[in-house]
Amino acid sequence: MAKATLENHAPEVVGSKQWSVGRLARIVTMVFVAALFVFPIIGFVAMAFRNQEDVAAGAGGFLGLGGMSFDNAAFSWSQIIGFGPNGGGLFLRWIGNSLIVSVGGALIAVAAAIPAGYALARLRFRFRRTILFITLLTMVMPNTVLVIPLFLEVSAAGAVGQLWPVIVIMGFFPFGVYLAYIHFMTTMPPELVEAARIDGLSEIAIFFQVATPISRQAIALVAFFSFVANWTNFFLPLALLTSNSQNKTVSIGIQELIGASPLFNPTVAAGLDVKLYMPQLALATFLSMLPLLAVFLGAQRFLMSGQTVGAVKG
Amino acid sequence: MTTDTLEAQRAASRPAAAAPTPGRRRRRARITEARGGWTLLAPYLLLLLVAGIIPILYALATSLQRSPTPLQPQAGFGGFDSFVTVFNDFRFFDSFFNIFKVMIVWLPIMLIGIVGLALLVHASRGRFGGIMRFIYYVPGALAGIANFVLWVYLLNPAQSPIGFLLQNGGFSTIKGVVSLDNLPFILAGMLFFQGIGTWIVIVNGGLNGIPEEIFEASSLDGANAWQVAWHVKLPMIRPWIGYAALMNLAYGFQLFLEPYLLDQVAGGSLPDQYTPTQLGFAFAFSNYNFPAAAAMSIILLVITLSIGLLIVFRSGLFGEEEK
Amino acid sequence: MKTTAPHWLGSRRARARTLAVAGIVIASFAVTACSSGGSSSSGNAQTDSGGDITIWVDPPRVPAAQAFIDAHPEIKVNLTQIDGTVGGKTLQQQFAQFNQAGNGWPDALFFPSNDDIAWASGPQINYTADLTSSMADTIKGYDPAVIAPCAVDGKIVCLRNDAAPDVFWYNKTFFDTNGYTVPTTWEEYATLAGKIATEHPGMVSGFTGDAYAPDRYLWASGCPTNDRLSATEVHINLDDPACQRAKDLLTTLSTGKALSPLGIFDADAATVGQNFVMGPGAVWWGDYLFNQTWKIPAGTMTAVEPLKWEGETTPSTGDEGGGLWGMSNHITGKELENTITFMKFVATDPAWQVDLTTGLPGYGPVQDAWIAKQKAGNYFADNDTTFAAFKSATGYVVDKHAYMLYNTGGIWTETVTPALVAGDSVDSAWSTFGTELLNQAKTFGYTVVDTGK
Repeated sequence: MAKATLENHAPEVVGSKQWSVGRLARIVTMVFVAALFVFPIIGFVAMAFRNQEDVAAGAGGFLGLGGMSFDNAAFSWSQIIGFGPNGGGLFLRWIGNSLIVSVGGALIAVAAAIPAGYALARLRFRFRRTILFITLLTMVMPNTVLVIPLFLEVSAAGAVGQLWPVIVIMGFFPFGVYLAYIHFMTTMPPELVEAARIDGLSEIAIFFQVATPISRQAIALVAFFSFVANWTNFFLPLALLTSNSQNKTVSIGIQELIGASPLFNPTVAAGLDVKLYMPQLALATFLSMLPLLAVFLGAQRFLMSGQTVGAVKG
Repeated sequence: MTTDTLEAQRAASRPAAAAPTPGRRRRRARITEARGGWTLLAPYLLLLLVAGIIPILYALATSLQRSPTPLQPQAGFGGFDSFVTVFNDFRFFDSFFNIFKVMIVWLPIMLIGIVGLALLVHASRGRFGGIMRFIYYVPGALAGIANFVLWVYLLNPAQSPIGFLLQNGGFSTIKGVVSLDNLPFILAGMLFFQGIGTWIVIVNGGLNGIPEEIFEASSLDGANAWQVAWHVKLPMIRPWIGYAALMNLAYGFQLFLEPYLLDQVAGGSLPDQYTPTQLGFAFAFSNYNFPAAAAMSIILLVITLSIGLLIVFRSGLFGEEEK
Repeated sequence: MKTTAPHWLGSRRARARTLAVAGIVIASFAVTACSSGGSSSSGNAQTDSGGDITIWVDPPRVPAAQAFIDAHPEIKVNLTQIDGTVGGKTLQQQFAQFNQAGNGWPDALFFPSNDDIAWASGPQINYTADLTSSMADTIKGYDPAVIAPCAVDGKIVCLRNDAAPDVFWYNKTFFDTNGYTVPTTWEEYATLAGKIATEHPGMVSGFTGDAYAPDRYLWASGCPTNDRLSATEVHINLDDPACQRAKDLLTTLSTGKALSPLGIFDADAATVGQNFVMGPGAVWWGDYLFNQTWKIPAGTMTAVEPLKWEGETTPSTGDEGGGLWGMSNHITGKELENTITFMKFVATDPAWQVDLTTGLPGYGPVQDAWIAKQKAGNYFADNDTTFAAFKSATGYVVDKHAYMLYNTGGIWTETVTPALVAGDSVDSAWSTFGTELLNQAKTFGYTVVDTGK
């Protein structure tokens, strides 16, 4: 590597506008990798707008882009929405449930994380470090290791199959606390708190009147990350909600669609009056991603402006 | 804020408590502050208790129970029996070995990918770099089931855009592609695709945190872009690389969704309990051995907890924020 | 990498103190939790909804429930469509959750996999009601061989939706053109398969890649893979002569290049299926597989009675599925009464069993009406022989084969299928299959013995 780079030794300066072998190699590499990342996604979205006959015949040209039409998507939608007993409609039910748990979980996460982050960042009390430590630890641990213990707990409470335990569990979002902690650490000088105290404000009042108004960024980030994590969560709903067909979320619902596809399970599919081939599965997946896209666009301003995001995981 | 100052404060406040006015006022202020702190923390602590501590303790208690069997339907205290059951299960070590196989393929690709792309993005200023960073982030948005369906589309030779490659490799059906031998590579691909974007953003954030002067100084010294990346940037983001390695390692131990669903797609030709999490799931819901399932969770918890402790204590990324 | 701890964690002494406190808290919690934490007991309080019933069906059985709703408008039915994946785990998981919660069970359901009956009737889940006396009239209508999968420890715990014995299928057009004689023994079948494969390369005389393959060959041979002795004891012995002859058969077929390693449900099977000249297969292959899925032209395929093993007098065959209906033992009163009405309907009523279902009805009295209806389709080369074979095959299914907590078909597709696809010998695949079978049986708590009763 060192040898090859000796040639462009002199001219290459950071930010230079000159073209050189190194610069060309860098750009070619990056564009190539970008293509690897983007083409499958384009092909997949195109799949949602194709029809099974073309897909089976291999028609549609490059990535199937030629075979796209809204009529195909409309047909696929009629199949997706027709899935379920008594005329179907399960898919919308799943989307609704996902919205309930994701929004509910995000609200709780925000309501708990913002005051907690503030307290950890700007107030002094015993065991503060211990709590911060536990928060960090739970934050870096993958959350699925707790799912079976959570199932045992929820089943001991007799609430398996109901949405509210899922919402509460999703409301526990240590990463949000850490984000809020970083936010107050970086944006709120301790002197501000001191000054408010001298003005005679109570600790709680300081939080609501001084800290909350400057925490829009933190609220948006916690809500965004929490919503995304909740929406894509698979194992928790799988363990807690599968027993109630009316309370499934879309992540485990799509699994059910896969299970009913003639591509993978012909015996089951033979008895279904809706046919779920790849275009239908792709459309269902695409539709299930739209809420994520919406919150992403909504939170983009906050995501881009804050270096806080770079602080830790995603 | 260091412990020493805290200790000093505490030491100072002790004799002060005996003295009448100024010390007492400060003390009262501190009590109010602590009370405020706990009040603001209360909702979070409640959730921590309900969704973190209690389940762990309950799992611990459950793991010490004896599972009811057809012969002995009454549950009771079983000591470490359930742990013995788990260790002696013929799938136990296999499932960890499987994780190891996936890791061996995935982690190097992942780390090289993260570091390489983050450095490339960092070397590309302006709009181009921004666009590339965004594009690299896009697959990360397709987390979980969506990423899975996307891969089903990619892996099915009949309709995949890379179908010709698979056909040339001798695979004509998705069942052929999704075989036990290929599983580590497929899982590595899936995890890479959905994980890389976020990490590029994170490591890029780390790079952005390095003062500009350092790079300027090195380029004035005659270093080219490669040398700056290799000799200056890389050492400076070492903590991030360590952090990424450990986080992804911990993530690997909880693999569930992908092998679980791949088995469904492959017509049941994969082992049902490929990963430790799947094994725990099977203990709970196929064998109805909840103590063994709890024991499995405790084992995984200890492993990921250890990794977590390593991250918090050794990565050097936490604790710098406190000023 | 730095080795120091984050400084906000304080001095080592402070950390040690924190850890000690945490340790004490955990220990004390664990002790109290031990005394209170207990495992589930499903309890046997039976409830009555007052008449409304909850029915769970997999997608192919939705029309059955719909037909019931149409026929019985007076009964309010809460219908749920469940995941129908054969060998799926979700249903079992749901029942574990219901038993923990003490409620939520459906009143009646169709089991997506026949193996499900093992846990549903087992002592831990203990869901299925004993139908022996409450539905005695209905049970009388079944051939004992057909209802056998539902007979658990002397009780009838489910009703068979359809009978699915294997018959011997062959391509009559191919046989007539080339002058082959239809075999009557398994041994003749193996020899002829090799001959056909040599004379007509590419022609296929059997499928081994799906979860029903062990039923097709091992069950048909009487090989003890699922010989249930009691709730905790099972007889498994792959060295048994009955297993060895099945293994020899498979070896001959495999070395003779007469087998397809695909499963019948694989997408590619439709192509290979056009070259299927003969082999054992379930009665439902005729309509579902040959006609609807593989689109083999009418007048081609025909079934005859299952094959005999050399030296035996009666044919012997296995079963490929043939779904089961189960009913809850947690209900009573009007709810129970209506559920029994439902069970009787789906098992016996022509509105479902003759008009709608594609499988040969398990319930004897409606079989002829179903056959008459199917015969009208005139699909098979020799319809009379085919349907006579369907009917008689039900009596030739080898007994001593129960559905177990472990999934023999699943173990087959995980061990034998990939090995044969990769071109390995039957011999090596057989030993991994055997090991896995024993391991799985043991994890479910069975005591494995190698001699039967």
